[in-house]
Amino acid sequence: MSEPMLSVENLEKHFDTGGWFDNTPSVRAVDGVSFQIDQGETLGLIGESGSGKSTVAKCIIGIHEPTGGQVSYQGSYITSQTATDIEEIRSEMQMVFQDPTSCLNPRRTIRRTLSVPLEANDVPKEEQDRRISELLDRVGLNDEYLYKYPHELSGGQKQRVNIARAIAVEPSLLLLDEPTSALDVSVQAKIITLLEELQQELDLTYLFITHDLSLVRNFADKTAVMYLGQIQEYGDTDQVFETPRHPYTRALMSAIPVTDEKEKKYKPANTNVDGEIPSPRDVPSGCRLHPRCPHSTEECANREPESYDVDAAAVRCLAYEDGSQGFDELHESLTPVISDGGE
Amino acid sequence: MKTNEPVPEDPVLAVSDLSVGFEGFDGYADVIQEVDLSVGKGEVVTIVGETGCGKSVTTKAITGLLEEPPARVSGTVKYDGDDLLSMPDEDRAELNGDGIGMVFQDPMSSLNPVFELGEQLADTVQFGGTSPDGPLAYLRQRYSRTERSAARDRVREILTQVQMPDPEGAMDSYPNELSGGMCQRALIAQALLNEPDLLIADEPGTALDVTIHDKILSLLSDLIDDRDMSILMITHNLGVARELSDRIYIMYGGRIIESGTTAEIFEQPKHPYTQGLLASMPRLSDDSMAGGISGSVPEYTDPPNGCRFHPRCPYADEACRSQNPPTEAFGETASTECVRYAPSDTGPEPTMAETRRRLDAASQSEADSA
Repeated sequence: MSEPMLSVENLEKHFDTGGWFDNTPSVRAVDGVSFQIDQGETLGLIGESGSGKSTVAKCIIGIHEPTGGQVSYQGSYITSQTATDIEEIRSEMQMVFQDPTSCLNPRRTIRRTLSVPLEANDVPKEEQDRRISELLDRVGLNDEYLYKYPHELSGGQKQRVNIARAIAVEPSLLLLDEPTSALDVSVQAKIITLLEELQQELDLTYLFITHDLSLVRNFADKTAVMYLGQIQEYGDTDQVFETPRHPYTRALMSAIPVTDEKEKKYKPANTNVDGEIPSPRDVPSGCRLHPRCPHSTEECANREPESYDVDAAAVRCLAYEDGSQGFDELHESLTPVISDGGE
Repeated sequence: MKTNEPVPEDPVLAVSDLSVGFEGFDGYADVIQEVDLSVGKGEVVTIVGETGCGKSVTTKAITGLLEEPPARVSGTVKYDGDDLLSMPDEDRAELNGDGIGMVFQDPMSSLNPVFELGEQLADTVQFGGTSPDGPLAYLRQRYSRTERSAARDRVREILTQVQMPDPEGAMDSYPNELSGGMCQRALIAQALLNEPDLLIADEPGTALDVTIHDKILSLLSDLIDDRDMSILMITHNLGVARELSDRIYIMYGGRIIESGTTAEIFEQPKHPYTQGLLASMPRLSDDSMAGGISGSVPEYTDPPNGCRFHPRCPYADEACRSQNPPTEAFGETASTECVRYAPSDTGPEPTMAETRRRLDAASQSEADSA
């Protein structure tokens, strides 16, 4: 088997807050995250706000320096490279951020914005204009937009410009951090279609971060569900959505308001989690979900679950450990989701 | 649009022919046009539309939060039979809060950051809906120990009702010490404090995570059942509208383009815009979503002629560009504003499947030309 495009092993990012005498515990934003993305694949990373999804992306691209673990790109460790090598690898990865407006310099025309990555990549001046036109074309805009300023564009158009800027340096991996959450559904669908086309044409690999589960269902090959800095469930998207196993995944899915009866069958019943996500400064003992989990037992509070392989998914929940006891209710509630909803 | 609906026997809120425009540097922006809507007693009514469709402006016109000028408001807004628009400002100020409660969109920025939550809410109990009788009367009331502690008791009670974790602690906290979900609960509590008959909720919980959002919505629906309150809700999320509401108005470009009961809107959406929105929703099942609707909401200073949706509509033809679409009624409760349903029109009637096919085809041809 060939090397995966991107592989993240045990990634850890703890933010320390104080000085020498400050005993405030550090924020464990990312705490042992591992996954792999193959060439041309899309991994959907889901979680509530505060679960550490954006920190993962920022560690991969180098905005944050991880405090532990390894990130490797096509087999070579990014985290232990010399500066020049990293620069080379960086142009292979680009990121698209959540808020399309604050990512564009309001005083630069679109042309100027798009010429920056080209200059950084030593594209000769004569060629830049042609390349920029090409880029705009690619993301469904045209030359009319060259001399416009960001305020003259709608949210969807701005996000298209952001995507154009990201693909300007011909990267092979795009980190998409909630690229559509600031947009309306009709525009969101447009941007998703655009991303799908670009993926096919340019053979891109995506890490797609979102809090919208149904979007991942339509877009990602694999899905990872994150909670308090750890991946709780990881597997093929179909698998995760047809048989969500982790109580947290089930709770997220059951909270989505849907638009017809057929969709409703995909929502696991009776799976509410209580309360709100705890502070990553003060991570609960044992399983991180246990104070909110409807199925938690005494053991959950004492022992931290590992990731257990169930079919094609990996689930971090003691209920799926061999010989676990006291989770009958959870196991019983597993089946209806597929038997009702499957066609 | 003159919507076709059984006007509820003495509605709590009846809006008719509401138009709102704004004077601006770019000329006159003709935003809300001929909006008719009504909310019956104990009914949950939702206005659905994308950003920039005029939903929030509509609610602001209803509650009198628009400054005139630059705004120009015309039409009638009747609350319990009284016309709010022609009412003197003092009377209206008394109604706001006591008769009409409002939950604003952004929970974090709608609370005053320099006062403890308990203080803000107790002020609402003591002074909500009353006109000030001068500073001395205010101070006497504000520092009256019995009145203040009664007000605080009331706040504690209502915070318990909205399931605020640790109500006592929350009352002594500043808004920045509370999470988004807690702030949203506090805002709902604040709107409910003086037991309004009508609650206007502008995107409640949109800024929150799904699990919290879900809880806020079920909290709202419990409250509706308990108090026989009417709710006018604003949202851009069709799924949310479906879970809570009895009737739905779909808004586009400042006009109500479709209305009906929740079942009618979701089972037989009529207007191409409604159909397009529904098709563009990402789904939990394996079904893929449509390619979205091209273009964006019109510029209100220079809105398109004829139907305001025509530049984005997959069915648009000459008739859409040249004339204002007529309102067509369906059955007892549903109506839509689209020329395709006019008896004299020869074009195809929009169906869900056909709309989808056309939207996808449009996306495809955009991609090919690119």
